[in-house]
Amino acid sequence: MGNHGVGLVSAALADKPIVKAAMHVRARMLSRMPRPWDEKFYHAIRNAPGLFEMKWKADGRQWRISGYDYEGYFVMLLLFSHKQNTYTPHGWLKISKRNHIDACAGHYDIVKYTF
Amino acid sequence: MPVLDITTSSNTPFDVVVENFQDPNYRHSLVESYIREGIAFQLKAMRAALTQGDVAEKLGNAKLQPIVSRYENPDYGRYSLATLLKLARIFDVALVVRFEPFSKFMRWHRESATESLAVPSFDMELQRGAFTTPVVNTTTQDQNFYRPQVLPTPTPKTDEVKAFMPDIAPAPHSQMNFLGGQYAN
Repeated sequence: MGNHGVGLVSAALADKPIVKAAMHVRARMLSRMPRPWDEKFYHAIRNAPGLFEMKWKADGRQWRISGYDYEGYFVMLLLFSHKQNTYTPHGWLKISKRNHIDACAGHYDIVKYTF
Repeated sequence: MPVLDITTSSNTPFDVVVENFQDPNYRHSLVESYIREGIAFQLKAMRAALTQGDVAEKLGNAKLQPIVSRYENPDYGRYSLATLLKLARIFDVALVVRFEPFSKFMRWHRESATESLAVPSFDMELQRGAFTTPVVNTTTQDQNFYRPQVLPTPTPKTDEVKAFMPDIAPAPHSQMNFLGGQYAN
């Protein structure tokens, strides 16, 4: 990960400026709201203990980020989208669970989210 | 262990923000999202101990609770100015709707990261003494912000000017910086 992860989200969503803007605002709003956050925007993922997702709508799709709580922070694991019962990527839950295990085992660096 | 931190974004490198703003789709979507989400989240935060029904009652009809719920939905985004003015009156806060240059919006975007969403009412501000200290003259700051920055014009050494422009005498510093002087007062 170059530059210590700075600009990572912006780069990942470079071709989706509307989604990126909506995500930046949603993250900003949640960060300014005291916990617990409203279930409409942030809730536990079924059949995945310890995993949560934040979600927002943009550009005709529902966008979600899976992650987990760590010392009062939300650690993002995977960005995925949902439309008409189709998830992209299809194996989002499996990937999220694997990332969760790897992140907790210290296989990834966790970087501050900036926008 | 370093952690993801969405509570402080002031450490965002300026060039990353500027790069995002280069894209018109991004910057206009950001404004739209801020308005849609900002209003919804602010309403919920300001309501605090009140129920949606209480707010509906203050709007004039307790049966309007589903409408208040809709107002708190960040995906709604179809508020009328009249409704927003009514809500501002209910919570006794100011409503500010105006056009702004993107440079100012971007500055606000960066600086508002940790601002509370629950805007205090006039009475709460009064109790906190918000009106007892002198008000900072932000107008002057804003005017300076909009003004083109005037960089100090280096005074060329006479010999150097002669070397490159042998037929043109160096202008006095005050004349060379005339536009700067006009804007920088």
